[in-house]
Amino acid sequence: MRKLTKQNLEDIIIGCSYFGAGGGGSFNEGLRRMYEDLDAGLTFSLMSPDEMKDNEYAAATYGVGTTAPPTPEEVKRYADLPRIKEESTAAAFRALERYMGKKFVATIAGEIGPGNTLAAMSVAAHLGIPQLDGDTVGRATPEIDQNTVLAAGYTITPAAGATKYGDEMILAKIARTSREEDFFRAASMVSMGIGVADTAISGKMAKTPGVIVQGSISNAERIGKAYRTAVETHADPIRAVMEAGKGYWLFEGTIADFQWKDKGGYLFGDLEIAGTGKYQGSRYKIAYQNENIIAWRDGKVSVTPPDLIVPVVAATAKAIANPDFVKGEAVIVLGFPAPAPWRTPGGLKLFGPEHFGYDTPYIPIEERFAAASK
Amino acid sequence: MKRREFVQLAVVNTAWLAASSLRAGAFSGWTSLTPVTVHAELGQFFPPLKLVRRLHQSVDSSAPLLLVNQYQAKSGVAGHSPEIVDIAVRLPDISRQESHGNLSREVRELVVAKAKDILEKELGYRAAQTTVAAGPAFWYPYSGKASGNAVFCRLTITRGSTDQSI
Repeated sequence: MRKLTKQNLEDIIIGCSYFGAGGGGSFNEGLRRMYEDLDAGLTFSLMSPDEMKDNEYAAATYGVGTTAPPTPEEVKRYADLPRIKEESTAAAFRALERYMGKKFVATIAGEIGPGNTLAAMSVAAHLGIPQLDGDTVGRATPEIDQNTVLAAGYTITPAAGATKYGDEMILAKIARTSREEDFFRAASMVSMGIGVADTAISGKMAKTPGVIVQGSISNAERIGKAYRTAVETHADPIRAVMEAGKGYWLFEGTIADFQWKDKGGYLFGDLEIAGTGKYQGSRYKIAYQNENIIAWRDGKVSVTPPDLIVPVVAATAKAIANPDFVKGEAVIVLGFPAPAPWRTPGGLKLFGPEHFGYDTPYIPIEERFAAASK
Repeated sequence: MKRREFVQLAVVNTAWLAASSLRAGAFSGWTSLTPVTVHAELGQFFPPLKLVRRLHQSVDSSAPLLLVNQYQAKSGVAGHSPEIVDIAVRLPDISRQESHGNLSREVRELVVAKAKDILEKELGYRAAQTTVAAGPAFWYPYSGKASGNAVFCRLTITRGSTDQSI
C-alpha cells in the first residue's frame, strides 16, 4: 500500500483527464475535492490488487448523470430539498456495505476520468480505506454496461444508488445488465446526478487477469507525471503525454463548429475541426455521447470505440471536456489504444462501434493510423 | 518585397504603433481608457504554456505577464467580439497556508485587483463591469521559487460596456 502525496494526486488527476476522453466527470470538481480533502487532513492511499486477501471485498463507486450544466428550471426545482453532508457516492458505498453485510477494504474507480476517479478516491479517503490500483474500464465511458467485470462474465449487482438529497435505493437484482443503467439514469434525471456503488468483487476476482484493468491509477499517474515533467523542463507536454500513453497524433486544427444536446441523461453532440499546418484543407469530426465515441477525417472513419479520442487545447495541453469548446481555438487530437479487455469479442460487444449504432467494424487505432499514414 | 508581405508588415507596424500609443496613453492620461466588461476565471490549472515558460524565465522580475489570444470567446454582447486575455498574477508574498484548491476570498479579490491593474497598464482597458466565474480557483503548483508564485486567470473582455460600477 502506498500513501499518495499531493504531487502524486495532481499527477493522477492530470493523467485521468486524458483518459476521460471528453468526459469522466469535471476536472475542476475532482481537483477541488482533492485539495479540500488534503486541507482537511485526509490521507489518500493506493492498494495493489495483489495486496487484497482472496475473501476480502472492494466495490466501485461513481457518479451517473449528464455533464451538461443544470438549467435554471432544474436549479429552481431542487432548491428546497435537503442536502446530505457526505458525497452521494460515499452514501451509496455505505448503503451497499449495509445491504451486503460486508466491510469493503477498498474502493474501485468506476472509470478513469478526472472527476469520477477522484470521487472514488475521495470516498476512500473519507472512509479511511485505500483506493484499489485498478478500475472497471481503464478509461471513461458513457454507460454502466461498459464494465470489465461484466465483460468477464460476472454480475455487477447488487448495486446501491444515493442522491445528494438523502434518497437511497438498492438494486438487488436486474432482469438484464442494461437495466441497472436504465434505473440509475432515470434516478439521475430527477436528481441532477446520482452516486452509485456496485461491482463488489473479491480479492480473488481482482487478481484474476481481465476482471478489472489492473494498475490503471498508477498508469494515469505516469501520464500525469509525463505532462508535469515536460512543463517543468519546457518540453512539449502534449507530445510527452502521447508518448507516455503510446498514443497517436491524429490531427491538428482549429475548432470550426460544434453542437450538443442533453438527451436521456446523456450529453450528445459533435465537434468539427478545420485542419491547419500539414492538415490544412482537411476536416476532422468527433461524435460524442458524454465521452468521445467515434471520429472521421474527411468523412473516412479515423477512430472507433473503444479506442480513445482525446482533443487537447494546443496552447495549454489541457484535455477538452465536452462541450467546453471555443470556436477558433487551436487543438490537437490524440488517440490512444483501449485497454486490452475491451479489444476482445466480449469487450467489443459492450463497447464496440456496433453497440453505439455505427455500421463500421472495429479496427484497432494502430492499424487505422498506419493505414492513414501510408 | 511582394505587395502582400508589405501589406502584412504595414498592418503589424500599425498595430504595434497603436498598441504603443495606447500604452503611453494609459500611463500618461493622454487618452482615456477604454471601458470594457470583464469576465474573470481565476486560478486556471492548465494555463497557456507560453505564459508558464515566461513565468519560469522571469521569477525574479515583476514585469506583467499576459497573453492576448487570437481566437474569439464563445459568448459576448451582440455585435462585439469578445477578446480573451490570459494573465499570470504574481503573488510572491502569499501565505504558505493558502489552499491550493480554494483560494480565500481575500486572495481572489487581490488577484482580480491585480488583473485589472495589468489590463489598465498594458492594454488601456478599464474594467467598467467585472464578473468572476463561480467555482474553485487553483493555485498553480509548478512555480518553484516563492518569487514565481502565480495565479493564472483567463479574462473574457467585451468592449462597448455601459459604464457602470460593480
